[in-house]
Amino acid sequence: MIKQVRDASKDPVLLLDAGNALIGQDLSMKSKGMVIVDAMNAMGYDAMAIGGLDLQEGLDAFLDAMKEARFAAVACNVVSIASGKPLLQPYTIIQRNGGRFGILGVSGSDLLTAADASSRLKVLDAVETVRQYLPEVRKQSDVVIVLSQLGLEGSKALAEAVTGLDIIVSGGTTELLESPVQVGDTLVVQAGYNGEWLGRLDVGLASAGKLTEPKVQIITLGPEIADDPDLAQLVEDYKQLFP
Amino acid sequence: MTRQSYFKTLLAFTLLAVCVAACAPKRGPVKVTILHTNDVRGYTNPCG
Repeated sequence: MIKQVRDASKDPVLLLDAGNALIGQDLSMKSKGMVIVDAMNAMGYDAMAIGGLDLQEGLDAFLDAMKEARFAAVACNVVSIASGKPLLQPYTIIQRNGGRFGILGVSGSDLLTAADASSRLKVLDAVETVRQYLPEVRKQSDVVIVLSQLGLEGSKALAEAVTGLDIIVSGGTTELLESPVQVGDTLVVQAGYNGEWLGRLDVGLASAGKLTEPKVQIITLGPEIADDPDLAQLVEDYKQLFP
Repeated sequence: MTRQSYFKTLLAFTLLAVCVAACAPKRGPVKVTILHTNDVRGYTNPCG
């Protein structure tokens, strides 16, 4: 499905995740998230935010898994207590097909309920931290995207509080938005949970800096969509490694 | 204010506005397709 979209499009295509991807189902726990990291590498993810489930096997296991990631894990408001510095890069800038996309990550305080997170991490106020990083992201970007693990209501509140965010890809709760929620000049999208849906947003940015013609599609990843054979093999290989 | 100083002031403000517009970060135009997921929760096969 992702390959089809990339092959068919002249415009830049980004593949993003709003967090809580790595851990939950049996195989993902046994492999400490590596099966998902490898799958995301194979699918060509560009960036992900982090949620509490991602740290469920412990912070060190998460960081080990992320060493193998070929995509950025972004979190502007998660700080290591030991160093006082952000645990991950606060944002990433992706340049693709002539467009520049600034992608900030923001996590919710539920991150601290995971394993050893509360003794090693602090979660800063999302609104203040996004406001802090926004000017430098804005300078480098045509489109500013936030990957938010604040839940849908939290993502809407972020859009309400911070001017200058173009798109928020929301996660942390399970809503499936069949059309985008517009909060001021910000579009908020969210695509369900458990890998059952893929969200698609097609949108333009005019020279004046306004988003135009947003079109949302929710693709249900049902049995009628054939498994990618390489990914299916990857999962089988992991099942052999972690019976 | 004399006519000459009025036009000098107007010219200064006009030049200032042009400079601000020219120096403002430029955005777009661009189109993008964003494919997105959230809360996949480790599922490798959601259909079974």
